[in-house]
Amino acid sequence: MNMRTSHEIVALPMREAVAKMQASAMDLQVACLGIEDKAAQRHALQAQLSAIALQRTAIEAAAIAEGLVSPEHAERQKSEGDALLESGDTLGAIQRYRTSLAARPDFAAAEHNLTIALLQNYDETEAGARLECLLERERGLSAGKRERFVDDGSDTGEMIAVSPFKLLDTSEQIRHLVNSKKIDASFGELACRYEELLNDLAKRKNRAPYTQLTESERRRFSGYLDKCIYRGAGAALDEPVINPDLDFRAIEEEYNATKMLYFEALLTAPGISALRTYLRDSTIFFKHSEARFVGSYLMDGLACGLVFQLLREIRACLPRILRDRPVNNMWAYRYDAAGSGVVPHNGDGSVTLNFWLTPDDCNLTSGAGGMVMYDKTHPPEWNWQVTNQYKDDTGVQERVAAHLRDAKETVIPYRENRGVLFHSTLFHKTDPFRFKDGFPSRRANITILFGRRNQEAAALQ
Amino acid sequence: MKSPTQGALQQNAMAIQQNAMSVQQGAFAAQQGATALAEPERRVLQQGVHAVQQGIVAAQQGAVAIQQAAMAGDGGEPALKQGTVAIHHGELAIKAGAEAIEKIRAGLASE
Repeated sequence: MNMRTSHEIVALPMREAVAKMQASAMDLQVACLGIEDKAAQRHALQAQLSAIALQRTAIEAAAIAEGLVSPEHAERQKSEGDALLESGDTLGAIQRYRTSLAARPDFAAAEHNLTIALLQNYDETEAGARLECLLERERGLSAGKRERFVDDGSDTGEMIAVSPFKLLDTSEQIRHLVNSKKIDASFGELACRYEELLNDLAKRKNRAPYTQLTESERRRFSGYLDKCIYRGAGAALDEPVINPDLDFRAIEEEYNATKMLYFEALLTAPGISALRTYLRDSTIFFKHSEARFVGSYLMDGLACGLVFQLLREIRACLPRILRDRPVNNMWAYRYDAAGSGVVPHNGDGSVTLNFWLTPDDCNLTSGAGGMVMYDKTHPPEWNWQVTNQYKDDTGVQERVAAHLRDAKETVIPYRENRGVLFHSTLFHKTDPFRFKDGFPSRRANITILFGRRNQEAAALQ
Repeated sequence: MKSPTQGALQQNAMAIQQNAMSVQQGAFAAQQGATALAEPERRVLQQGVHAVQQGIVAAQQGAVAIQQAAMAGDGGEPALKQGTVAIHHGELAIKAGAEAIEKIRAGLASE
């Protein structure tokens, strides 16, 4: 007769404990069904979601104790999850990513992709919670280092590349936060370090784009490079973020007929004000371009209660366009005072919504500075990754220019709170712009991609 | 007000969970009854219980999504779809787990 193994002795009571949790969760479900009051219903649903999250954690722990999952499985499960996500089986992908994370809880790539799959499955509650954890782990600072600038000469050991506008923008943002007393005055010294490095880069002849910093250069920043120093509350509002007075039916009809349109007053006044404040105050712009703009994505800290409220509302307002098209990517860009922005490219989604946040009085070229839309899509025989990931490459630009030579151009002038809705695969680019100089006046936009690129191809066929 | 479809889905999710709980209890009894199971039966039984428990959670998630859909009214279609698919996945996981458990139980009974 076999002896019971130690993990069996541990695991069986764990499984029985899970069964008890599940029985309690079912009681909770039954109790919730009888609730009529809306606010109480919301609280009850939240309690159910918490119970589900607890069960998942316990089930994963039991599986590890039983040896059903091991760290070696993590990579394979993640790869299988990636393939399922690509094929559109989001629930299957979620399951694989969960198993992968059960085997290796610190597997950032699996957690990252799990949040994408969760967003595609409209599970914003868990996606939001996981995004917060990822941000804290990847970009967080200790409480002491958040409180004041601690000049300890430390280094995270991560390779970090910089470009001039990224350094300028970060120093300006830190000064804005110091001046508005949102962070300690000692951070003024950190802003000085950014300015010193910016001056140093300006003196270098033949500086390589996206300049890699040396260890001694990184140590000048004492571990604050690419970390989140301050983040606004970004809380959901008690009132709408999307303007409820817009004629959404007319927008949907025009979009379905033309595949591209723009309209005014997308956000409510409190909505645009709250978004501007969140982006102005939050040091979450980690992506940057030598074309002099910085960017923040959902994974970088852009995701917050306010942004999830916006996503929920826009989906509810445009059901005929966004049905079966969950958000798949979203970013905010902030640009230097003048420039050409992004060259012609396509979005990796089905439907794109773009809108501008900066007040109109900052735009110095009325009737310009927005975007240019072309009436041609990405040719199916071209490699999408090459066209879009290497869009700044001269050869790619020449090929795209030849493709767009006979395309019809529509210039959409910059306008605060103007929404532009279009099929993601249509080529588009930033219209050259000139804005007032200075941090609060910088041209800023948000772009949201809904659905998948192959969904779009099917729709166009 | 909940539509009849949503009500039926909700009931279905609850019934699936109820059945799965009984399957689970059977598996525990089998594990307790056999002082120590040998491989590969022990592992198959564990995998069965694991699948059943994951399936129950999926069905619960589906039931929550359907309640959210009912609250959202016209905008609740994605949640309704999510809930329906989650319940279906839960049902499949429970079925697979239950089959694995039943094979082991049948084997134990015949010994």
